[in-house]
Amino acid sequence: MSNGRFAVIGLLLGFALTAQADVIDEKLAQYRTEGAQAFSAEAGLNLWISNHNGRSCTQCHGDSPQGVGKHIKTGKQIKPMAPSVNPQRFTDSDKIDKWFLRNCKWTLKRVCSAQEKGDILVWIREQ
Amino acid sequence: MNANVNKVVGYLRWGIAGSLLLAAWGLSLTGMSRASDNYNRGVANSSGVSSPAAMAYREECGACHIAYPPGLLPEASWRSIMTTLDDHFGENAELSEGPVAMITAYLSENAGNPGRGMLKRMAGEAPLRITELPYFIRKHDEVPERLVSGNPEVGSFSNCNVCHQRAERGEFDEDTVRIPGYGRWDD
Ligand code: HEC
Ligand code: HEC
Ligand code: HEC
Repeated sequence: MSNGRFAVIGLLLGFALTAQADVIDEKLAQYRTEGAQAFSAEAGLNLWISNHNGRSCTQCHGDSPQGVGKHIKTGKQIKPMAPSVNPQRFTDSDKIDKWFLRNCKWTLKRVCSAQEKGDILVWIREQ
Repeated sequence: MNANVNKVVGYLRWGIAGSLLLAAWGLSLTGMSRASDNYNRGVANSSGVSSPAAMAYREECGACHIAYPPGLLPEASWRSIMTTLDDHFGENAELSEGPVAMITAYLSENAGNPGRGMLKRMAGEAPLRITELPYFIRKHDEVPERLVSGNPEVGSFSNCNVCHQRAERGEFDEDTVRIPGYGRWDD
């Protein structure tokens, strides 16, 4: 039983360390099949920092993607989004889907398009 | 690594996790006593290793606030919370079926017993908030609002961990309380 547990933990850690680049590439490929055109880091940055009727991605994730964020309602710390300082980020495709869904709905009052999600990922992967 | 491998590993993860959960449940039925005044049941076992279900709970329910120790609410409350995640205190905390089933089982197994500990003076009710429990209100009625909603570092009572240093481990003794901007609480 405890060996099984360690195996699971090992599996999870192993993925965290190796999967980032692959997972982002995989998401970008998926967004292309959903109709996205060439991705733009500039458009991604724009979406990330703009104010959408008083709401913005940076309200929870902080002004700098390398910095620690703070959930606007609960005040809980949110670890940095930039892969350069947080290699755990963008290593799990389901997690990316889940948070794009929740956070786009909260911030923009609608889901993000495949184009917008890809733009954000190509910007953030360089951070 | 391609998408299919990821998918298979994903299923495998939940599969392994599910069977470990069942095993852990079996063990806890035979081995564990139902403590009333500490809330750390299900948080970690005696060797300090968390079960996969506990890890899933911390990952999914610990992103926006601390993963509240399961013993703080009765089973019925957790069940209502887990079936209304798309409208969760004004937020969307939706999850897919696999994690929902696993986390619901974990919370039910480790839920508090009505009438004891945090759930004193209660029977049959299923409040959605810990902060609305009669016991909670009584224990905090001496803490003035200005130290909570009027305190940018606290914001609301829901952020247990800001004042209770060891909240996530289910420990709320008065001597582990430190209110930001106020200091240690002694009365
Ligand atoms: C109300 C608070 C809040 C806002 C606003 C918000 N986020 Fe998030 N976001 C979170 C939290 C909490 C997490 C989970 C953090 C963790 O896993 O540590 C998260 C995680 C993410 C992730 C997953 C990262 C990963 O590890 O894979 C993505 C992608 C994301 N957010 C994108 C966005 C975008 C794009 C916006 C703006 C449209 C946005 N967020 C606005 C709170 C927010
Ligand atoms: C997207 C962010 C988010 C996620 C994910 C999330 N919650 Fe919450 N939760 C909140 C917010 C916001 C509140 C209200 C906090 C407040 O009023 O200050 C809350 C409050 C709660 C409360 C009541 C706390 C009190 O005031 O007594 C419970 C219990 C709770 N959540 C359980 C869960 C469980 C179980 C999960 C996992 C299935 C979960 N939460 C996931 C955002 C989230
Ligand atoms: C603003 C700071 C603050 C926050 C936030 C807070 N508490 Fe407390 N809590 C206190 C103080 C101060 C006491 C001691 C009160 C007294 O007895 O004088 C206390 C006492 C308690 C006790 C009784 C401990 C004992 O040994 O008698 C419990 C249980 C408890 N809190 C649980 C919680 C939970 C659960 C949350 C989150 C849902 C929470 N608290 C949030 C400040 C806080």
